[in-house]
Amino acid sequence: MATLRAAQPPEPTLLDRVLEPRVLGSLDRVRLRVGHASGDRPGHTRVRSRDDPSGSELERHVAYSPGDDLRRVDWNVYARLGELLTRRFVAEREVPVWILIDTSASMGPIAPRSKLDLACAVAAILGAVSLAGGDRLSFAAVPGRLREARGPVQTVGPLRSRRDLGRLREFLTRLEPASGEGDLIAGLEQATRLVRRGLIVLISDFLFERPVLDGVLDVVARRRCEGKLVQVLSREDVDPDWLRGQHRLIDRETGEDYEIDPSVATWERYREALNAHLEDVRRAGLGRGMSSVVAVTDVGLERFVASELPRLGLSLVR
Amino acid sequence: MRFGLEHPWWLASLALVLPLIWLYLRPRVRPPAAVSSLRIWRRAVPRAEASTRKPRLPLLFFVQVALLLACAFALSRPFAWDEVPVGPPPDGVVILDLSASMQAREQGATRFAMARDAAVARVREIGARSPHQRFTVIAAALQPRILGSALTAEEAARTLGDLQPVDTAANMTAAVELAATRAGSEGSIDLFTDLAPQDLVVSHDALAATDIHRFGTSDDNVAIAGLEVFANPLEDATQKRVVVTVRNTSSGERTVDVELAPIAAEPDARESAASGEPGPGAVPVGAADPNPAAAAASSPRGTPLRRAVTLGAGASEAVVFTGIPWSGTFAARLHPDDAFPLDDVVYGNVPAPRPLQVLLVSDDAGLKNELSDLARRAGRVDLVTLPVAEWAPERAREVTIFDRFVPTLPPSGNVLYLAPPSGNGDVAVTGTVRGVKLAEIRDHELLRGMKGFDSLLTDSMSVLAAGGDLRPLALGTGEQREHALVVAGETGGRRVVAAAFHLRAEALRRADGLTALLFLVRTLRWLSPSQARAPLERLTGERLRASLRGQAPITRLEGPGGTRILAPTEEITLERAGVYRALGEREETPLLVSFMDAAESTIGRTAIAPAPPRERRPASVAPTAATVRERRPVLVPFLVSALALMLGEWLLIAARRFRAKSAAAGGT
Repeated sequence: MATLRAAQPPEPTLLDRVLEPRVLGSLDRVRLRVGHASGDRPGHTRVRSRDDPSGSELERHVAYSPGDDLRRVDWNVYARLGELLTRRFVAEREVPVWILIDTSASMGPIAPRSKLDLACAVAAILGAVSLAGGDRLSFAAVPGRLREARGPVQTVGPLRSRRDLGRLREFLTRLEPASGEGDLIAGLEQATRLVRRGLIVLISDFLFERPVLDGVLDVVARRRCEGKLVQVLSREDVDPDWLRGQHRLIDRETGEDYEIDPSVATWERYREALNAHLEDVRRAGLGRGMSSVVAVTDVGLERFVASELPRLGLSLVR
Repeated sequence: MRFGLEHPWWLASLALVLPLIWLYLRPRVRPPAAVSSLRIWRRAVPRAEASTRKPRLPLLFFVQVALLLACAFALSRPFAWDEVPVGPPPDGVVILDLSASMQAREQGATRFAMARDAAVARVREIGARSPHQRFTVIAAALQPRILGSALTAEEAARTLGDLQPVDTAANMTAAVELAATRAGSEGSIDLFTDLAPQDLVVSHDALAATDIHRFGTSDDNVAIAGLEVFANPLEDATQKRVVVTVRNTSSGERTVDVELAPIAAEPDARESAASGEPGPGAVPVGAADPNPAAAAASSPRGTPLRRAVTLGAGASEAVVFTGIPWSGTFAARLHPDDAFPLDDVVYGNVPAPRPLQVLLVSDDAGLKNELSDLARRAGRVDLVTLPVAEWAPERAREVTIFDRFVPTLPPSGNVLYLAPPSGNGDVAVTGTVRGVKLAEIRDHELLRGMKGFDSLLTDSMSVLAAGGDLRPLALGTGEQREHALVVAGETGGRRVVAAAFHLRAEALRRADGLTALLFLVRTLRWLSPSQARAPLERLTGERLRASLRGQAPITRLEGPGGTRILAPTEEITLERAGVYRALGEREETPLLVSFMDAAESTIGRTAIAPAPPRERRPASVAPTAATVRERRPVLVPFLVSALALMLGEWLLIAARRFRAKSAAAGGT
């Protein structure tokens, strides 16, 4: 008996999954902590774990040492425990958060679980956490374009609360990779021209030549911002063994082709070259005080949030 | 060693290598593959290697090509071949003639001894000159025998030294041709014989390869060429005759004594003959008696009889001995002996006198009376008559005569049927016929020289059907057909005679009835059985079967040359003359083996100058014998290689897949 096969529903994108209310609800109690980044004006509500006597947020207790301000001794603790402990406070400042998404052609194509999809999903997570913490959040696609609007840089923000999630969703869902070769450095310059201090999270595959990489990182560093790099790679970027037999490789961004006759040795050398490149990116970031993580498209988002974001220095506090 | 292919057209399958090469080296359309960036690929694969490198054939390609080669060669049926000589390397072949004539004496030694010594000397001479030479020794007798091959000189000398002559002729043609096949085209043959080259009937090639060493020229020989004993139970003992035929083969007149001497237990005849002295069991021979009649008359029972006879050069004479006073085995011997004593003695047997036991089954009273009267007068026939109604198989005697009557079952013993009605198993009768006239009498001792045979015919006669073991002896015509009048033959070890007519009593009674009487006597004599325990008589060279029809099988033969055990179906050639004892399970029969061979007895040879033996090529030089291409298939190595290559191909493919999987797993 013939059966009618039900039409397969379209595969949901990673971004769609992140923006589900259930997932966003689970991120409500997550807070994003930054390192040395701070806002460029008072009142910025960004927290970090730095001792600041002017702060009002209790951070921890430390043993009393002679010379400490007696006003900070916690006498209640002394009454209970008989030990002299002093209270330490941190200052709360507003820090602007910039999430820059590389939408060059190398991040394509538009498809579920593509690099751009993963980049948008990561940006949405970070954005949702930031908005939950009341941060001033801005997005930029560099060099990028929306499906309806053309231009080297597309931005949205500043967003200040969860009420702005609709704008965030609209911005991210309309992102698409650029066609042709783009100038990432120029785009970054344009996108961050108004940025003064703060946190910049740059999401890209970082498959640049070394001068371009240095130029990109220098742009971030010149803004005196705390830089965080999220390197997004696809499974095809990581494992080249999907290439069997002779092929003509075409660069999505530049359109250049390159004929190869891959073998097992070729794959090994590719992996070695990729690892060396990742190490170059990591070292280049560290040299500028930027931490970096790698996200692969087929690795679950939960795993990324649980293991990779803390390594990035972005602590999720519950 | 060289190689060849049985089916070389399979090599055309090697053309499959070309498409295989094309499959590996063909320019392939590279499918495009979009990647995020070429940077990593450029870093991993330099352009020189990626796009401009030369086509590289993998190991798998070479394994597959080798597999194709192995399969193509295996299908072509490869073989290795080499020129190998046909048969073993040729030996020096030595033939020694063992024939009876080689026993002729030449100046104190026999020809055989001279030839044997010469052969031994020849072998040792060649052996001393060529230590690597090997020999084949062939004894030439009735059938040539190879006594040894690849023998050293000493072994060949020992083999030759052990040989003894035989009392038969020799098939020299077979011996020399056999030697020629053993010697090959480059071999040589040494023949030691008393034959002249012109007497050798051999191929030209064999004769060309043969060195004939000839011995003997003497023709001093008088031989006993024949011996015949005439005796039957119907005759008086004094009528027994022995006829000895003597032949002088020498070129001069010779006078010899012919002696008949009964032997009870003859010692080795050869020793007696060779020494010229009677054996220990022989009766001493008296002086020659010029009067044969007186000698016969004066010969007491058991004493030898002797006659002298003078023979011209090449003449033959029949010496007749009558009135033999003894019976039993005897030896006829010539005195004095000559250069060839073997043919001076032959052996015979004189049967002992014994009345013939005859049974007449007839209702004809006249015939019974006449035959009874005849038997009474002859005194050598024990006749019993019996009416037809009283016939019983157990009444049968040595000879049974059925007059116009046929028993249902043939009786034991010999039989004479007279005008039989419808026959039994012995003789087939198809009816009666009238007015038959005699047409033809065939040569047979029953009817030989008989006159007036047609007087025996009667008006009505039985129609005998000749066939089987009986053959017609007399034929008549009547009613426009030819009819057998008398048939005779041996069937089942019994002698049977059937006459289409019956014997009339008045024919036997009348004075002119000689024909009927003669027919009856001859028939009875032919039907008289051989004596019980009569010795077997054979000539040398004849075959003797262990099992003879109507006789107990011979299990053991004792005599010249020792004792020989015979298998039930064995047949042997009698090579030695003399008196043997043929022993069966229960009884013993003398076996008299005489030598009578006119060709061998003619020992005279034309003297020729001995030709020097040809120089023999040293055996250290490899002979160039005929060669043949010997093929050996070499299929197995190719099949094993093909299997190994198939396994290698599979391993390579499996290893490639395994590396790919490992790389994929390692990459993640």
